[in-house]
Amino acid sequence: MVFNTIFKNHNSAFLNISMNKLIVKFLLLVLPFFLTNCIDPVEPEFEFKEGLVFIEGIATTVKGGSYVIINKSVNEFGINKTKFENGASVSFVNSLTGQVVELVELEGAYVPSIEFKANVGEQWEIDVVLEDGRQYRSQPETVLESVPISNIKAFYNPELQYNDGTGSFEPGHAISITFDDPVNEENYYYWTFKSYENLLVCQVCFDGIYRDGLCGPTSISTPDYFSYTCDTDCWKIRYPESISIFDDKFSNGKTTTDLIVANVPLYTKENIVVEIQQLSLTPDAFDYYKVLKDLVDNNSGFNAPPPAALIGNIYNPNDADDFVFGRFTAAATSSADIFIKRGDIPENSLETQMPLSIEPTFMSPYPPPATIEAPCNEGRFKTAIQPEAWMN
Amino acid sequence: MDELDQDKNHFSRKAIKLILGLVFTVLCSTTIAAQEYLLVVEVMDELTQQPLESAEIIIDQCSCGGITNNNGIFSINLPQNTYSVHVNYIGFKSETTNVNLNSRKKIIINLVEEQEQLSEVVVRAKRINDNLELPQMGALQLQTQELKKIPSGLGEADVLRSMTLLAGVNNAGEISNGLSVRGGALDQNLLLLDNAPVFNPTHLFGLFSVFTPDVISSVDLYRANIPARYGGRITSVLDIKVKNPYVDKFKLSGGIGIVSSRLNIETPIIKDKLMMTFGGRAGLTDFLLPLVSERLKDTKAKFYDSTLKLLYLPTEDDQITFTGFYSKDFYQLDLITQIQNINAKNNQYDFKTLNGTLNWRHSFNDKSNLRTFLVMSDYTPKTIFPEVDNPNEIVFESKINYQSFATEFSKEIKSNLDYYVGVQANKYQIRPGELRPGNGNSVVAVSLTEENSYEFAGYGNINFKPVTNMAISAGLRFSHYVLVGPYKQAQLDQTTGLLLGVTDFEKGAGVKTYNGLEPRLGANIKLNETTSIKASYARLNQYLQNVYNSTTPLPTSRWKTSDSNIKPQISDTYGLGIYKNLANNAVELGLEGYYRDSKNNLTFKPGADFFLEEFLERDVIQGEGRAYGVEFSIKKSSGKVNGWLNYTWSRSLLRSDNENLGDRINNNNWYASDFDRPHVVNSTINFEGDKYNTWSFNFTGQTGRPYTVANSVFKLENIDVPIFIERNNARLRPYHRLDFSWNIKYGEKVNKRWIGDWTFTIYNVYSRRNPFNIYYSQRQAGVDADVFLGSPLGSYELSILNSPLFALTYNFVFQ
Repeated sequence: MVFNTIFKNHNSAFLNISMNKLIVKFLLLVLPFFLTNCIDPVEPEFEFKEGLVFIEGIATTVKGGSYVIINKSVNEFGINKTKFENGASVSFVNSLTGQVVELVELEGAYVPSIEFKANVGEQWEIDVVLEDGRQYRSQPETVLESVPISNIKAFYNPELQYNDGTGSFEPGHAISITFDDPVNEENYYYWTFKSYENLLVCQVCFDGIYRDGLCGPTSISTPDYFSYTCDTDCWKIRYPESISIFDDKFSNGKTTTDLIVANVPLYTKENIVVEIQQLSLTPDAFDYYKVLKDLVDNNSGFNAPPPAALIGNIYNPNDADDFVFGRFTAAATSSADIFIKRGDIPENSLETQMPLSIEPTFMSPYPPPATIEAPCNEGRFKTAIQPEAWMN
Repeated sequence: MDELDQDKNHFSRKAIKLILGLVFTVLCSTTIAAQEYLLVVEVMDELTQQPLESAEIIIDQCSCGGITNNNGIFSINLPQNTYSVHVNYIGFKSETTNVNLNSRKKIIINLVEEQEQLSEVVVRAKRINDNLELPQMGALQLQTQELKKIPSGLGEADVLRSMTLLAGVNNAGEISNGLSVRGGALDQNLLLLDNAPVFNPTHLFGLFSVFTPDVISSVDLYRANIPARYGGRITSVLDIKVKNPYVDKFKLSGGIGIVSSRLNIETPIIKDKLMMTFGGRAGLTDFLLPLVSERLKDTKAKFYDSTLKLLYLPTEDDQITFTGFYSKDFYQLDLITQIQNINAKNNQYDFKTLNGTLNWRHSFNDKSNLRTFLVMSDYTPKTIFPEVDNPNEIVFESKINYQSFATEFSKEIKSNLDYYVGVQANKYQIRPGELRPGNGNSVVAVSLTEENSYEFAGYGNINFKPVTNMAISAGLRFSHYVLVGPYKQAQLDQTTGLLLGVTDFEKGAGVKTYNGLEPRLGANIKLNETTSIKASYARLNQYLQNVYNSTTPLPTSRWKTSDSNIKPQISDTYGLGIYKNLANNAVELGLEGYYRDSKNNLTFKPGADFFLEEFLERDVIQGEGRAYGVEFSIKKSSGKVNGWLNYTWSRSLLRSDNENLGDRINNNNWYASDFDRPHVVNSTINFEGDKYNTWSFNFTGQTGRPYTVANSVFKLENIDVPIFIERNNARLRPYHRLDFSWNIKYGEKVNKRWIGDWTFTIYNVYSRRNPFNIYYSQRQAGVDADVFLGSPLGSYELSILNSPLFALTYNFVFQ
């Protein structure tokens, strides 16, 4: 249709319409054709390989922060997936003293005792023996002194990040920090964070009811779901969706001011505490996290680097050709937190809250006891412990 | 004219002589008693008064003829008679003149350009059957008239994009900072503009070529037995010539388009002595981009390019030209990954090219001449980092400065034998990069050691036709390369790649030397009047490479000269082809095969980062490569309906040889390079309508680009991480596209001195969403769940175009 219109313009009015008018008319005709997205979702394609081993280990200077996760790619009943590797023997080994710290299996991870923490200057490595006898070790990692964060700020940006899925910008807060990079040493930084926001509903049961700590079916018809509010103050914990790293090779000894290290999208308008953790990495660890960043964050632009194998410092001492992915990192941590009020933000939140659907407590047809609350169970994504920076 | 390829000149002259000889013999045998007179026909472009080389002359009464030489002249001895002389030249209206040859006569025929008769993409030889006569293989040419008419994105005549319609020429996709020829990397193609190399040939991250469209005279691509005068890149040479301003009156031309507007001036400065052409183009319409997509709201994109050529004719035997070229870009684009480790609001790219060529051509006589040129190419890319908390800007800047001096003597010994010999000295000065903090205090100043190297070359080539049906071209180029201090040479562990130490070289000290002997051979055996077979071989060395780890390089990507760790790239290319002309040379068929073996191809280690890296050799791998293929082409260059079609089957493979497990690519097995396209088909059809309208369609289709899919997915904290073992283990969907062009020349001239026409193009007529890349993303609850299904990761396909791209350009000439 547009094509025909342009034809008519050409045939009749070339000599009479001024150049500018013609261009404006042309643009008005043409531009609507551009107003669609050039990024389309496609079914993810994989060349799955079975038996790949992925080991991710962290030894930190924070008690309770160290862990090792071992996953293996498997094909079960025709479905490709990764599975936690049970039954492995895992230990941290102090490379200088020979001290061995055994790790035990707990909720999908291998963890040392709660009292374990690495100290600055120590050298640690891991030793893993899988159930099938394959052994993996890491190169030693030195725990480098952490660099303190001197300031933390939050900036609200109604166009914080672009979402390929929705084809629009999303609102949220950018968290920036300031720190003084030490002189006369190379420093490599990695930031992660936990955000805490008020959680009202601690459990949702679809097509069932909540009894004895579990959602279960019932013979009596239910609405689509029942919501169970938290029986105490509770906070939902979220983690970063991108990798944030920095190398001081261009800023050695300088003050780095207002460096954005985290994006916190406006999932809800609940107030939020963001706790930034700053890890001091070794050069090898930094290289690993840089590859990780390229794989996760830098893969969508015009100059996207081709994907690279995420191989770190873990190897099979008995088979040099055995690929093992992942890394063992020992690092000191410093942290800073900030409380952000979000109730007055005009933009809509990204998550839509499900309306409360409370189980009836009076004349309830469901098996007793009638329940409307659920506990705020401690875990990776929930806590009843009020964050230090929380303000009521 | 001085830029015209010597090979072709010699062959043209030789061929003219041969034709003349034959004609003369025939005439002698039939009209031996008649009195003969010399008839000289000079053919000129009426508009530019520029001689038209290779115009076809047909003389009815003697059934003889030929083509004009590089001065637009054809001469022949004929018996006294009245002759009808027909002159044909593609893109111009044919003329016929009757001549009563009763004495020595010279006639001047001015041809009028008729755009409606132009072939859109006519890759033609200098003579209608040159494809059968010359031993040059794999050479393609586009003329300016053809370039103007090729449908291109947003209506801009575009050299590089037009070249991709030819067999064996490709790129990285809709945005590509260069050309890939026969599966080679983008930096393995030498791009010359009047002998000066262009290191960054595109505007807007690869959307458009930098070459000012109105001043281009011709584009020659050599990809088989590359003439010995060229060296320095291992796959091909793209030789772009700027028009010589042979003008005797002022002429102003230009165009106004959506993306850019341009102006071109041609004028004599001193009549018959000093003439000038100047073309300029500017693209300043980035304010329209937010209308295209919300994501482009912060995008800035401005570009300029201009070309100046001065022609000075001090004597009848001397010709001096100066060509200046300037190109500048500035853009800021969110779709480019930001540089790490510099705290900035955004990254802005600012880069410029400044080239100059001084060329002197002296003719000793009509058989021999000397050509000498002095070249300077200067490319300065910058990345600007506006600081977060203050107005200061941190600047990263690098530079390539190339200087060259060459002199070449050519001589035609006899009609079947000519040669040229020459020497060339090149200096490469590379400033790999410096970081300037400006007035701020957040970064330290960084400056990498400058690289200085020299390349001295001597070359010669002989064209010989021992028998009527055989032609041989034999060339040899010897190059001596030396990298000199001051330089810091890294000593690397050969197995692990770890840095063992650094050797410092003082100023002027030789760091590393390489020598290269490069034979170039071409042979042509003409089986009969319509069929010939050709074979070719060429060896080339490359001492300068562009290092990047993405599909197409950023303008700021690093250039590196060879040193002890980075060895020169070397290729050996073999070719064999059969060519047949049908229907009195109106239809040309060609089947050409090639095999290229290359060493020390540069690729990057997994996770490489080259930005301000002092020893980038730690991040690169040099592997072997092989490319092979067969190109079939058919073309019809004349008639109301003309065009061409080519199909290429080819492969381009690479292999690393690295002991370190983590540095191996595909475990040291052969893998498809980024430019591996097994099947490519290109087709152009032109409908020469009435004198007001010309329509053209281009179709291109090819196998999708190789890309990499994950071999597994693991969860790290809250992030699903794709795990890769291999590189280029899958392919994007096939690429195909149809373009349309309509040139409208309205009949009534508003003003005799003002001529205007319109070009309307549709790029991507049927809205094909050709994928540029596919990437994984973290899944979000509910988003695109019907597409991603049970996958732990989401996946998105990035297309540069999702709709037809309409463009309207107004072009004018005032004189």
